[in-house]
Amino acid sequence: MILSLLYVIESADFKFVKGQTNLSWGNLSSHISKLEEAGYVEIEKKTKGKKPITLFKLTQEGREAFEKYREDMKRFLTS
Amino acid sequence: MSDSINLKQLEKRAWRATFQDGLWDIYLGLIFLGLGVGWIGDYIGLFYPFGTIILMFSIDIIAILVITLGKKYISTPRLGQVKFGEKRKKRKKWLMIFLLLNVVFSLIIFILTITSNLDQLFMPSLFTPLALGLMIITVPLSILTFFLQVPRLFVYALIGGFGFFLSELLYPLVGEPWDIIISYGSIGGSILLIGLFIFIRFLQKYPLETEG
Repeated sequence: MILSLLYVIESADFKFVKGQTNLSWGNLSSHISKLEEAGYVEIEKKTKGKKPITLFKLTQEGREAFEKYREDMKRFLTS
Repeated sequence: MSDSINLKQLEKRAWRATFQDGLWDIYLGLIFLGLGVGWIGDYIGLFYPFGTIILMFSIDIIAILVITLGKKYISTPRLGQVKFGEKRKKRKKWLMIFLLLNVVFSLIIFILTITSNLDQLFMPSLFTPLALGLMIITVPLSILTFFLQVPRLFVYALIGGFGFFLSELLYPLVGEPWDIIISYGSIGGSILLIGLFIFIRFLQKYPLETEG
């Protein structure tokens, strides 16, 4: 769900991803950490004015991995 | 096939989430309200003969402030930040071009109207206000709805376009400027109330919370 969402948008912060996926803070944080470790998600820390913002976006590797997953699923479901 | 449709739906859902704050509804409601209520300006002698323009312009400024400041200080802190992909950015560019052309077109229609040249282009009676409403309001707003992909704005486009027609129907009963005050006042007021309802519901659904 997280990868699907990040695939269709350019980037989003924690709050937006949480709102769209209905995951708890803890769950989301845990999943994002694992995705970052795997190199699929990139975390960008910025400031807007004085307020810190954390944005997530899929890396190129993440996009390719997601596309491969989709293709594998399609093949599996149609076979 | 169904997988690509699901991704499209996911993206559309994310996009539409940014419109659930009711701010676009409040914005359009205020614009229509200004179209109607603005005519009180000259009627009560407010900065005569510029009262109508000043009042309409002031309400338009308030509408713009509501949507821009509302997005920045109320919606985004609750909903979070999101940047959409290239496709949405392209749509936004086309939207800006369209809105610019619409402003120019509306200005031409406005000048033709106040110089009384428009009557010569159309049939008299109720067809002219109906055509005006459709041209200046319904068509541009419908195109805006197409770009924004928020279906309820299309309903506003339709009822907004009927405002001139409605005021023409009211004119024999209430005269000027009450015909347009009532027609656009009620249209704008209704849309504004819907917007406020959606806004309050949004505030309840998305309370301010801190991360982690």
